[in-house]
Formats: sequence, C-alpha cells, structure tokens
Amino acid sequence: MNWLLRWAGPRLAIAGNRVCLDRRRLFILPSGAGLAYAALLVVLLLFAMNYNNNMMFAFTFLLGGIGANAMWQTHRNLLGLCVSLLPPAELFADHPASLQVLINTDGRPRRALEFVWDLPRAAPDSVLASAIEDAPADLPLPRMRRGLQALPPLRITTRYPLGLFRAWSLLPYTTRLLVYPKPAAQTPPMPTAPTGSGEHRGHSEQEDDFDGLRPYRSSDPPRRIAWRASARSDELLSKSLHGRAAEHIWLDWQALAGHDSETRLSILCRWVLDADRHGLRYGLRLPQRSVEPAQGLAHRHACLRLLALHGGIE
Amino acid sequence: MKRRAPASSLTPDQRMIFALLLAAQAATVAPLLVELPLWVPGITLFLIGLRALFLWRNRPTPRSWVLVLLGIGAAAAVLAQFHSLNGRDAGVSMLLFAAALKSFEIRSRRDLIVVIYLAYLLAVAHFLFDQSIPWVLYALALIVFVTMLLTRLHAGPQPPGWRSLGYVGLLRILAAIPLTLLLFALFPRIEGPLWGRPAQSQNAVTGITNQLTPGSIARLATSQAVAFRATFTGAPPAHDARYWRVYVMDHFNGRRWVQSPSARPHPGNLQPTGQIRHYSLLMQASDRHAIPALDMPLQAPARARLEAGHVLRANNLIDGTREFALSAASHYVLDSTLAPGARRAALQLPPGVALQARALAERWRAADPAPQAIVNRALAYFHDHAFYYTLRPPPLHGDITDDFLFKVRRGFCEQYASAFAVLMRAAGIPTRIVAGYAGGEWNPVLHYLLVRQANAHAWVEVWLQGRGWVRIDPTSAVAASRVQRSAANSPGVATIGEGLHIGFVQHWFNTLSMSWDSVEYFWNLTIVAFGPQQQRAFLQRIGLQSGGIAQALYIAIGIAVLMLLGLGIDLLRRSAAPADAPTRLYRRHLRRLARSGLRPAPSEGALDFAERVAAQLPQEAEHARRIAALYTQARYAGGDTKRQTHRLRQLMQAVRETRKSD
Repeated sequence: MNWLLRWAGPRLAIAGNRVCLDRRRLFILPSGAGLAYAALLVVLLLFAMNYNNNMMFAFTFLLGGIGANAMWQTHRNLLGLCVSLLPPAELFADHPASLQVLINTDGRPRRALEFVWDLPRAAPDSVLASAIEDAPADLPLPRMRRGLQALPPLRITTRYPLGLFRAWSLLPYTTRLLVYPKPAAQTPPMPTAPTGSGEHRGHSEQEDDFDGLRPYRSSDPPRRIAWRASARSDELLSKSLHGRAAEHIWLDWQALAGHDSETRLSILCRWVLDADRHGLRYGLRLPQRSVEPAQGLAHRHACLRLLALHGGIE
Repeated sequence: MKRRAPASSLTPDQRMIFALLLAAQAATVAPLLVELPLWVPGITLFLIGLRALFLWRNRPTPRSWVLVLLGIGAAAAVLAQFHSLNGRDAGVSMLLFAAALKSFEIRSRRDLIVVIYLAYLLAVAHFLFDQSIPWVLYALALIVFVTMLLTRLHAGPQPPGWRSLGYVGLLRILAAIPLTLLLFALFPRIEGPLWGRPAQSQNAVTGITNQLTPGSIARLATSQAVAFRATFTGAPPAHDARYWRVYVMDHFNGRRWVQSPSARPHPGNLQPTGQIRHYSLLMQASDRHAIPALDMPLQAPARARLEAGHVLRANNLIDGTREFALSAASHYVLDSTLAPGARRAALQLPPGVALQARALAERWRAADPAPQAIVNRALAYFHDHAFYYTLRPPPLHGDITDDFLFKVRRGFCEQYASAFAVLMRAAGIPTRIVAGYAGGEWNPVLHYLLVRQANAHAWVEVWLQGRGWVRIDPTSAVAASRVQRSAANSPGVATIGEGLHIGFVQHWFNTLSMSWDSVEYFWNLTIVAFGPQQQRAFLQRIGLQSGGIAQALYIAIGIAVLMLLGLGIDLLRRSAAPADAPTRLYRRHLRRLARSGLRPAPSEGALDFAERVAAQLPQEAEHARRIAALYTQARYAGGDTKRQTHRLRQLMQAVRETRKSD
C-alpha cells in the first residue's frame, strides 16, 4: 500500500489524532470474492443468452444490481466515520501495548471495521470491530524502538455488507509517540546510599526508620532483608524503610560502567520505575544532562523522557 | 491430501449460518425433484441432510479423497444417465452434486462463500426448467435469504439481527430493481444459441408427437398444461373452425400412422377463398420444432417454414416461450390437383390388414362411387351404430382397425380418425391423418384463446376432386348421447358441455383459473417471450433506436441517471440521519419540556440540562435527573445487548411516567 501513500500521502497527512473519513480518503476496489461473483454473473449471462432465457437474464441483472449497490454500501460503511487515537499513557520499547481507537459514527451503525497497522511485513494484529454506537476499541501497537517514534499508517478496511468490495482508508498520523527504554529484567542492585549524604548511611538501618515489611524485590540489597521475619513467614520479606525528606538516591549512568549504552538505559529505566514504586526520592544523571532528585508522576515522566531521548534521538 | 479438518474450525456464528445455508440448499434442490430423474435431486438432498447431521453432532467430515471419489462417481452416474456432461439436465445435475459435496469441505468463511455462490447459481439455473410466476417469487425469496446469510457472514462482531437482515435483504432487492429493469429492457437479445443446445429429447415436454398410435392422444386428455395462447386481430374463429394443425401423417403400417419418409418438402398449393385471419401465437416450450397453426396457414413467419402437409416448422427448437405472428385462411382450396405420387401415398394401405373394413368400404363404393357419398356413409356409420366416445377405451387386440370398427366400438379421437382414414383409403379416396389441437377456451378478460394439451385432437383430411383437401372430423359424428362426459373436449362435442349444468363452485373455479391464466398469459407474452423482435418493437414504440451501439449507449446513460439518483437519495438520507432509540426517547422528553419553555443550549449536555431543569422546575427535578442519567447510560455506557435493552426499557418507562403525570 506504500505506492498509494507516495501518491496520495501529502494530502492525506493527519495533524492531531482525530480524523474523519471523507470521500478523498476512501478507496474501493473489488475483492477476490467480488471478482468471483462477477465471474458467476458472466456465466449466468452466457447461459441466459444461449438459452434465450429471459428470467435468467432478469435474475442475472438483479444479482448484478445487488452487487453494484453493495459497492455503495461498502463505501458508506466507512464514509463519515471519525477515528481518534488515544495513545497509552506510558509506552516502553519492545513491550506489548495497545492504544485505544475511538470510533465516532454519525448515527448510522458501522459494521466489520478492520483496523490494522500498515507495515511492510506481514500484518501483525488486526482488530475487527463494529461501531453500533460511538465506541472505543483496543488496538495492539506494534513493537517499537526507544525514542520519539512515528506511528505506522493505520489502515481501516471493510468488506461489509456482501464482501464483494474492499473499501479502505489509510491514516498516516503525524503524531509521534514517546517510547521509553525497555526496562531491564535483571539489574544490579539499586544504589541505596544517597551519594553526598554519608551521615545517613548508618541511620538507614536504624529501627526508627523501619516502616514495615513487604515482599522481597530483586533490587533490594541483602542487608534490607528481614531475616527473622522471613523465617516465620513462607516468603522472603524486606524491611520497608521510611524515606525521609532529605534522603535521596542518584541513579547514575557512570555507576554502570561495563554495560553498553542501551543496556545502561534499560537498567536506569528499571531503577526509575522501582524507585518510583518504592516512593523514594531519586535523581537521574546522564552524561550530559541530569534531573534533580524529586518524587511524583511528573518527575518520573521527566526522567523516563530523558532516558527515551538519550543519544540525540528526537 | 489435506489434513482432516475438525468440524469446529468455524465460529459459532458461522456454524449457524452454515446450518441455515444447508436449509437454503435443500429448498433450492427440492423443486428439481419433478424436473430431473428422481435419483439426482434425491441423492443431493440425502447428502445435504447427512451434512446437516454431521454439523449437528459436530462430527468430522470425510477426508478429501473420499469426496473426490464421490465426485467422480457422481460424474459417472450423470454420464450414464444423460450420455453427456453438458446440456441442461446433465449440467444442472453436476451442479447439484458439486454444491452438496462442497458442503462437506467447509473449513473457513471462504468455503461458505463458495457454497453461497453455488446456491445463487442453482436458484437461477432452475429457470432453465420453469419461468412461471410462482417460481420467480420462490427464487426471489431464496435470493433474499441467501443474501441475508452472505451479509451476516461479513457483519463482523455485533452482527445485525435476523429481522433487520431480512428487512435489509428485501430492501436490497428493491434497490436493485431499477438497474434490473433497465438492463432487461435494453440488453441486446440475440437470436439462436451461442454454443448449441443439445436436444432435450429425453425430457421433451408432453404434447402431441409425429406418430399416431392408439392411446397417443388419450394420454394427454387430462393434461391441463398450456400448449399455446392465441390473440386475434378481429373476431376469433367460430367454435367449429378452431382446428390447429401440427402433424400430418400419411403412412399407415397397420397399427401406427407416421409421416411417410418420402414426404415432399413442398408444403402444398394453397388458394385462399375466404376471410384471412391474422393472429399472434404465444407458445410454451415444447422442445420440438412444430408450430400449431390454425387451418389453413397462409405463409410462414420469420425463422419458420411451411412443410409437407402444410404444417409450420420453426428453424430452431422451441425451448422457451416464443411468439409468432401468423395468418390463416378460413376457406381455401389446398392442392387442387394431386400429383400421381402424392395420390399413391395418400391411398397407401399395408397388405393384409383391416380386411373387414376394406370389404365394408368396397360395399359402399359399389353402392355409390361418388366420394362425397362414401364420406357421408362412413360418418353415418359412426353415428348410427353403437360407437362410444370415451377417454379410457378398452385396449384393441389383433387388427386394431377391424377390432375397433366391428367389436369394441369405444375409442378416442385417434381410433376414429385412424379407422375412418383406413375406410376412405380402402374406398379409393386419398386420405391423411392430421394431429393437432381442436377448440380452446376463450379468455374474456384479455381476449385470447387458451389451448391446453388436453385439447389435443386427431382428425382426417380427404382429397376431393375440385375441392382439394377437405377436413373431416369423424369423432364429431358420434352420437351426442354416446359421448362420455369426461372427454368433452373436441369441438364437435363442445356444445354438449355448454348444455350441462355447471355448479356455482365450478363456475367460480373456472373464473378464477381463467383470471390466473390471464396473468400468466400476460407474463409470458411481455416478459418470458421477450426476444430480439419484441425488443426491437418495444424500442421502436418508446421512440428509441435498436442496435448494439445505440443500446449500449442507452444503458450507459441509464446507469449514469441511476447513479445520480442514488447520490441524491444518499444526500437526502444523510441530511435527515435517523436517530437511535435512546435519542428518540430523549427527544420526546425534550419536546415535553419545551412546552414549559425549557430547551437545552447547543453546547449543553443531557446531565447539565437536567440540573438546569431541576433548578427551574423543582417538581420535575427527580424525573429530569433520572431520564438524563438513563439516557447517557443507554447511549454511551456500552455493554452487551441484554443490558442495553434493559436500560432502554427503563428509559422508556421513565419517559412514559412523566407523560402520565401531565
């Protein structure tokens, strides 16, 4: 379908994430089944002519009329449909994710709409949806690399009602998605010693910092494991520490010497997620840029964004 | 060889569609039980039933090679039955088996589509056998149903319900009718077959044949099948002049009359002396060449010729409904002179047969040698002796002529004609047998004469010096009292039927069947017999040119007009987009509030508006909030159909309650 985009691409480019399908966006061609139907009609017509059979003539024309009208109906099944894309809040490289497609109809029910990413390789996931009312559908995203990534064009296809014609529209969204690095599965232990605040190191094990018990995570340093409590329980437990306002950790690129840069980004990403989940105050240091220690959703996004765009990927 | 496919490779919805498709297949095949040798549709129906059973019990279908073997077996059986694999009957039989066997090989939606296309093909192929109105309606219903299945197959998740599919299916047919009419009227019709139609000799339509044996016409006497209909410019012929000649036979072998193999191609020399009658003949398919012609046909119409015995023959098999423009002379002299060869042929009698009859004829000739006297004597003989006219004559043994004339004396028209001809020839009068139709019912609604197969009749022509061939109907000489009622179909005895008391019910029935026949006649005349000549005449009448290029141009213009119309209707429909059920109910609620002067602002949502209503009309607060909540839920919350229906019902109730409180 790329030839089509090359030809019609510029005028079809979509700014924003909502588009309504008007006539210039719609294409329609007979499907394989439609060509077979046409062949059936030709056979019937030849028989009608050979036998001078007027009812065969009439019904051949009737079936032809039904087929011709199906062309309009297939076209109308897409015409006037509005499609909005709602990207997921967070998107990690190589992780399965889906975005929501919101279909707005103008009151007419639309049926058997097939959504598929127009990728050069074999189509991955496609979603068949009907829009009786304005309704959302989940569309699995293709696996994406880290960085600011363009969406592949979205293809909407329908063969309703009779399958004789295939009407489709290509939606080349210009919106780009920010794809965070893939969180590493295995990481070295997260730095727990807040650099530059050595006086707190001793306190972190103090009983007064102890906040409770929680299941062990792979990133917990061994000295945080609550051995006595774990012995009484079936699973390994870690001491949960109450993060004090002044206490923070630095997630540092330099601390990961010996890994290649993508792996470092992966590990840092995992650390950011874990630190955020543990409610720690954390800062991020990359070779050129850094984020001062803080907490919260906005901070997490800022850190992940920095990781996603590292290395000049824009 | 393919892997054995599990029966469950279809989705539940596809399985249901498949089950209904099998029902549609059975409905398509069943009417062919009367058209094809019974075993063909019989086995097909059995296979369809078996497939339905497999589907119901979720059994795996047979392996592909089993199906291939079955297919080869079916082809061999068809070949053995029809001696051919093409031609109408063999072709349709192969199509039946293909459809039934294909239904055992359904693995995907694509296979279902193939079976649906085959169902279309079968429904239309039945027109090769029958183009009558009932079948047209039946085929329409089949096509609506099959199209419903095709739509459901492509409807994705949340397919429309069956009722809405049926409604849309009907609409689809209606929407296709303009294009159908356009193409039907304008698509150029051509004369003659494209690749030849094998003669349907095995299944020729019942009707009179070119041989006369005892019982050959009697077996038609109860057939209500229509042979042809005729409309006249001017008055129809009188009752006793309604003789339609089809075959003339001049060779007798003692038991059967046939056309002599040496029959001259020359039709005969006709001098019309009386009124010339023009009429139009609308024939049903007979799968023969013969065209019935009112005595005495003047000249052959286009694509037909006059043959020996002055009978009409079409150049092509009459395998469909055809219309011919004919003319006849009510009085005439046919063959004022008879060539010696022809005379010899018309006097031929096989040696050693009908000896008693010959002796009787000799006695008559000895008494008075004038041919006219001999004819009268013979007619009087039938009238005065105890001859009975009956539909079920006892079988004749030995020499059929003598057995009939002197012992049995009960017969149908063919016995009378045959015996009379033998007597005439024995007396030296050139004679021949004519088989055709006599009489006909006059349709007072559309003014045409309806002739059924039951009107088949046989009579005799004798050649008299100076008068040529003269028609004699010996059957009519039988005394009226000796005509048995069931056989009151020859013109000579038709007067008897009129004299009989006809019951009220019978009268009604006759009227009804006559008006139905009028409809059928009209149908056959205007639609079924629409051929090249009719198309030319039609185009001329509406002021258009005929010819391939002109008609192609008209078709193109017509399609363009239809497309513009379609666009217009589309625009109109979109400007008045129909609202969904919750919106309609909600609007009803809004209309009620509008009477209190409250209208939602364009940007105001249902919930906000309800709050404003609550503020301004406190007594409405509860209702307005409830309706707004139900409406937003019903419209936007989604969920399965059951929940949607429930919400809709609640909303309907709420809207009604406010009405009551008014």
